[in-house]
Amino acid sequence: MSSSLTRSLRLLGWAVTVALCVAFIAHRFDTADPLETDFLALLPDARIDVVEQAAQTRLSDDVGRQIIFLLGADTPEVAVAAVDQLTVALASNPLFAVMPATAGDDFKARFEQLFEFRFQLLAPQTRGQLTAAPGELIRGAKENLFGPFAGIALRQMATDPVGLFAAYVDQFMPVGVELYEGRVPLVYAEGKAWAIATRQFSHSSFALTQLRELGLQVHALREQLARGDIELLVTGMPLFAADGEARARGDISVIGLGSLLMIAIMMVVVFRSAVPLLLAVGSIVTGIVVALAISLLVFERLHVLALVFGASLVGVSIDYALHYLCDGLRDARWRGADGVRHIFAATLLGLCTTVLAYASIAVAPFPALRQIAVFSVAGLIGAWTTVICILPALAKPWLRSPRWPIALALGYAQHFPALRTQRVATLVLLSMTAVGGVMVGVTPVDDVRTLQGASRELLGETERIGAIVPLSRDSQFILVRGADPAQTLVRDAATAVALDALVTAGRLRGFSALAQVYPSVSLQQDNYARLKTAYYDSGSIDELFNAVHVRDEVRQRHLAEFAQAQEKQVELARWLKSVGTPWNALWLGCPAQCASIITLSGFARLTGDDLARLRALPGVTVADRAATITDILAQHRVAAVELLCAAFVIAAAFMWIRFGLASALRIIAVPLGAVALSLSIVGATASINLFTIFGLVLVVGLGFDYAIFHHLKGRNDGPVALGVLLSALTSLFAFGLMSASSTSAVSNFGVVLALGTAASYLLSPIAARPLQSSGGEK
Amino acid sequence: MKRWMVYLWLCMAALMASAAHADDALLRQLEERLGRQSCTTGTFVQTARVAILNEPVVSRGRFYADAGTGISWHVDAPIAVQFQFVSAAASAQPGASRGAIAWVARILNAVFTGELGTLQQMFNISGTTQASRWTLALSPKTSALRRFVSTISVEGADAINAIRIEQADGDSIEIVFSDIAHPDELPEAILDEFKPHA
Repeated sequence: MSSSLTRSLRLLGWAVTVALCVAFIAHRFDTADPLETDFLALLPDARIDVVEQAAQTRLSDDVGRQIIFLLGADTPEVAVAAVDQLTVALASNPLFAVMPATAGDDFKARFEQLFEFRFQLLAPQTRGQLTAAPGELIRGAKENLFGPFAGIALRQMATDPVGLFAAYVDQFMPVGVELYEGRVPLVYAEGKAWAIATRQFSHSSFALTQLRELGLQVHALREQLARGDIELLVTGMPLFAADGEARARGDISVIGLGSLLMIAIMMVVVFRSAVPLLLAVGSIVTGIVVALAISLLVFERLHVLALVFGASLVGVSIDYALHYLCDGLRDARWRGADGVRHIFAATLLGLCTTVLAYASIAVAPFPALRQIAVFSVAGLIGAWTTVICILPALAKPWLRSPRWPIALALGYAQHFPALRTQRVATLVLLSMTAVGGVMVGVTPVDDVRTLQGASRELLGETERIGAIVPLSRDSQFILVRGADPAQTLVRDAATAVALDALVTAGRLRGFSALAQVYPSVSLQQDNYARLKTAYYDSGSIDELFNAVHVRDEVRQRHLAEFAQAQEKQVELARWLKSVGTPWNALWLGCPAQCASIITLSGFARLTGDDLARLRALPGVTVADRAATITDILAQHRVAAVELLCAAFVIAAAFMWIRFGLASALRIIAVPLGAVALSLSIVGATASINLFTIFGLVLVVGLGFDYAIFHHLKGRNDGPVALGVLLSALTSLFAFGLMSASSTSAVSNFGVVLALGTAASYLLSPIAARPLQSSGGEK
Repeated sequence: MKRWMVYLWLCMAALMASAAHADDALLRQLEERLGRQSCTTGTFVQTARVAILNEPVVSRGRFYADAGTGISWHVDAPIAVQFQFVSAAASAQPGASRGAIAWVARILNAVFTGELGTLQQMFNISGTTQASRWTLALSPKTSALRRFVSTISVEGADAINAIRIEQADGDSIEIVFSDIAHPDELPEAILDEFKPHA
């Protein structure tokens, strides 16, 4: 009676806790997306360069959501007609928002606001010609007056006889891009005409369902257009995200389902029942739910890296359930409480060791590592508590299970050679040497680009688009800082001059700088003065007027207009407001320091010398988004290695205190040997990065678990041997399949774990005390 | 200037294309009459009447068009100046001129060679025929184009005779063609103009 009451209370308490956790998680996800996906958020707070961060954010807001469509056809008419159809199709699609005008009628309207400043806003090229060869501009303007359909050139004699403003507006279009019918950007390449459309992905946070939808929509558009002989090229960050999502989904269905299926088959074979599988999965799910709830309680936002890795750590807690369930194979009189009694000490010790190890990670000054620590500690405790408190209420002896799995597991454990303490010590020393050797001898590869692994099709398509139209920007950019707007603009202009030289030399494809399109106020005054000297004071302008007999009153009006324009100037703020996106994104403002951005295209062609010269310019920083993330990964890797060592030492010391030196040596030989083995193989065949180290953290946890069980229960305990075997197999199935992932970060993690798990299992009998005859409690 | 020139050329291209290819029935009829030509040469007199000018601006010269190469527009008077427009077929080659100019040349080539029909996407076309003469009226379909032209008329007989563009405010441009010929190929000197400068 009382036991059934306790049982009901336990179940109720558990159910209420889980329900509260679920409700809390749902609440957090409902109010705001609490998942952080930006890798820059991994930076330790103290190391963030505020201005650079602002620039990164600006560019990812601006460029990060941009999707570029290129529609290629044999003739421009067909391409433009196709783009018009696309526009209609996209207009009704909530996934795509219209870019705040990059071209078209609106493009022209924005510049018309600046027409009154035409004598101040000169293109750098015009300015150069004014100084070097002022006669050339006049001659060109005059020739146009007699050219075919000279109507517009003639009509603008009243307001802009030299055509300064047209030249100014001209430079806003990328080289080679024209406006078809004054509205559709068009470019010729590869023997085709390509009409260009740019859209913004409507969602700023790349939610998975929307990314999936994006992938499907683009695929459908491609097929539809291909039927009309139109080739569609698409690129943009959202597509890379969608590509990653699609491949992750593929991984999940293959790896997730595959491992689940193999684990399910294994459980059913061993227990001849589906209940144990449900109980085991239930304990993990509870662990993850608790972990997520606690993490969201402690942290404002949880990084997706912490979530994924934390969930993997908690997934390992299936071991507790497996040991408990295997214990149920002892005999028919077995009751749930017996199981708890048998496994309590070993699992608690294992839990303490791993919790201690993971908790030590929390001291790191890296937000993600701290999140991982909290997540995994909470998850492990949640899963363990579920096994100890809830499983006994639901489990029963599994009488129909065959005996051969136990015989198999026992067979391995019993046939493993009994090693003397000296031998074990030698093994520990050897392993330490091997680990040290790999750590010192193998150069880690942290480059984030080797980890992302976008599909070849998408990379190829992006490259093709980059070759056709210089719209695409690199992840690298230049940040120009100055004390005030004037100084910043001067520096921006100096940098633009240096970049121009690189473009001319063919080592840079192109760049977009404020200085190219916005002359500072002092430059505007200078422009006006030069115009005045070269054309208006010298009378050259009359040459144009005379050539086509402009009416006197029109001339007088123009000259008066020019005279009145002397005091005009357009301030940066007003200019930015007029031209709008994407140019206004280049100015970061002056919160403390002023800063402007110069975006680059073709960064990869720059040499080290080029970069050094650019960096030597005053106020210039060459920011490299990919390199920053690579740095972050490297810092995390170093920190993770240090913490792993610290955690290992703490766990070893704990074992020493608990069991004495000889036993501690036997126990640590297992995780240490496993780490040495997997690290040596990975170091020799693949690369070492943050994700391999994460894998090792798990290997250490698993190794300790197996060792502790063997140490406490000896080699002759069938259910324990089976428990260890099943634990190793589940880890092998789950993580081993991850090594097949197309995302190399996931694959690295999987390879290390597969090797480490196998090694841990194979070495685990070492931990058993020699000469121990039975599997009873110590 | 290039940008504005595009619109000008666009208009002319439109006119010339429509001259040979208008309303389907009419267009086919005209197309037959004009025939498909790979090379076209001729002389022109352009008269621009603009309100801000005391007198019309008249320019005279010759034009040379070749489907594969492009169009060369030689103004002889009152000043000597030449405009070259490389065709898109040639612009796909490395080193050829790109962008707006190449694109305009492609349409112009279509006009001169009789490969038309493309302009129906940009213009509503109507026309009449009287004895041996024909007239086409073009109105732009898009507002972008309407900013530059309100109405265009093209007239011809066995070849194109004239193009007229009227602005809403009364300004107009007229180009009258004569001596239209279809040589087998353009003179060497003209073709040289299209070669990239050394």
